[in-house]
Amino acid sequence: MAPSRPRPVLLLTLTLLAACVALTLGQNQEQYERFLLQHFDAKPKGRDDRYCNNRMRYMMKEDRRRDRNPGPKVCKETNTFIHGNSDDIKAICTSRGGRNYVTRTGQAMRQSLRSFQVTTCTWHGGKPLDHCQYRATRDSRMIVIACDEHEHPVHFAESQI
Amino acid sequence: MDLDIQCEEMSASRWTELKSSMNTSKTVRLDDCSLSASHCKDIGSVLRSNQILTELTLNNNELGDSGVELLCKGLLTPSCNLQKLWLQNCNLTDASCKHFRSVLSAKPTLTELHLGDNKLGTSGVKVLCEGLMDPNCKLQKLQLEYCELSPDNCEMLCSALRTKPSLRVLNISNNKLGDAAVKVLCQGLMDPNCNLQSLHLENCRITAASCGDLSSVLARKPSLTELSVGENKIGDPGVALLCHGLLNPNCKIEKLWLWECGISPAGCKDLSQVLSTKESLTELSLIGNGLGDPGMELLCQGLKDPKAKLQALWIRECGLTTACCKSISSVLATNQTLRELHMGGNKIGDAGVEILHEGLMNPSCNLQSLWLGNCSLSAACCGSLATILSSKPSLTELDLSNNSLEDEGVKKLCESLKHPNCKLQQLVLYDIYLSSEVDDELKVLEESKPGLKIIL
Repeated sequence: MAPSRPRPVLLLTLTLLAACVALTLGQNQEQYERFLLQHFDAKPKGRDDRYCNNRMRYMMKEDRRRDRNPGPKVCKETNTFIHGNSDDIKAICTSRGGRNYVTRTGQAMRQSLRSFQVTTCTWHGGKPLDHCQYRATRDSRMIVIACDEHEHPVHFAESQI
Repeated sequence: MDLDIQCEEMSASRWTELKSSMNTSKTVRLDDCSLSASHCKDIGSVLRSNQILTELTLNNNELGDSGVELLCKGLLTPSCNLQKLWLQNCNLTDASCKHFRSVLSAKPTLTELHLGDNKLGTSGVKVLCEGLMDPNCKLQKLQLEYCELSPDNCEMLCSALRTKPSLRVLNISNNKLGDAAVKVLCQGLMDPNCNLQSLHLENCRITAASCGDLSSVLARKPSLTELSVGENKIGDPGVALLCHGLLNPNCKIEKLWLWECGISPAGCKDLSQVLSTKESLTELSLIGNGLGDPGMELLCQGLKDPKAKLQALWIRECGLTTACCKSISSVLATNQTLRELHMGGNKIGDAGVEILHEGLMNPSCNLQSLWLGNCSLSAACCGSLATILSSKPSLTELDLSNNSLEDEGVKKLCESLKHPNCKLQQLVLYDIYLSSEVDDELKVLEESKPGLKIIL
């Protein structure tokens, strides 16, 4: 007997399954990339108010550019940039760089084992996008993030620590 | 026609395409486009040939002094009618200033010059001021933030204020000026010839000592409607002096920015009096001052006065807790002019929102924009927020970023967003950790309700 040809139904199922996995992976990758855009800056210049004005302007514009349906321009009120190496931030999702952390409301997140240099930018005036004015606060502290199932950071928890 | 491009890398072919559209545009904006001096040659020829071009914005490009020289050559063409020029953060130095001097003294059409974030330095700004002093110059707005000005520049700026009745806006924030320099500046501001409307002196190393001089200006000059002295440690004594000038019937202040000024509850007493008597005052920022609940109580007393006409109040990160929410709530229930309330970064908690809910639901409350980011809120207060959303059509903007609302809380909000009475245009939910199901639900909801944007 000749070897049976793959059955069309099975083939279709496999193709769909592969497509789903690719889609989920893509979505996750997108979330991780957005996390990096919003909360990561490897080598910041100055870390002062001017740094925040420029970095926030860049971040918000880039974020709007990636958005398929960008809405009105807003000044994001508070945003923290983590500095250093992105692999070190990623490591917080693993036992190498982080430990389990439960938020006040019971959400499961990850806390870094070591402290990171961070700059928090807070809006103090000026209106949309090009004129948003920020105040910079430098800090070195433990950070709390949420990770996806692929051990990629996807959320920065501003108010936890 | 307008050309408005931001954050784009310029390929040669893209640039050729843009050059032709620049020739027919009224406004050209190419911020963060990695432009360099070589592009300035082309922009210079656009300035020469395009007579309808009135606004040129090239912020955040490495143009350098050589680039500016080329631009200014174009600007000097008699046929060029440019009115507004923005060159913030373009890597310019004092060498650019002689070109600006020529333009300022030759072009009465130029009304706005924004040069912030360039290291022009003391000598550069002196040269710039020579252009400003030319009788031909009719500049209305001058922005020199982060330009490394020194106290030595204030003598000439003072003369410019005395001789330039056209000058309306002066921004010299973020320069190391100090009290003595501001004293000199204030002499110019007191001149009968000076019509300045807006003065920005943020982070200029001034103390309460300058506030006496600024107070005299406020009392003498009804033209001055906007004053920013944020990020200077003027403290309560400084605020007391400013308030003295603000309370003068002559003063017609509209916008007052006093963020991070070291103000404590004691300063709030003076500010409260200003709020209840100064009907011209529409915007007040007190961000980052340790007002605490007692300070806020005092401000609320002023805001409840029928004469208070404040429209926007910024009290973010002022050390407020649930305890002052009762007073804020009663302001919301009585004050009909307040449109915008920024109170993020205060630990008011779910209990605080429950209390604010009462004031917000009052028919007298016309609030349009409410900012409650990072206020220690959880899903528990979302029921109250949902009621507000479905019964307060005046509310168009709500920020709840950085709160642990979770899926449960956001789902409650979604129900209200579907309500026809909810006229919210913008729901800001930055940095809230949600499941992908709720994320998707929000996207579907947004698509089903035109005019609503949910910002995640």
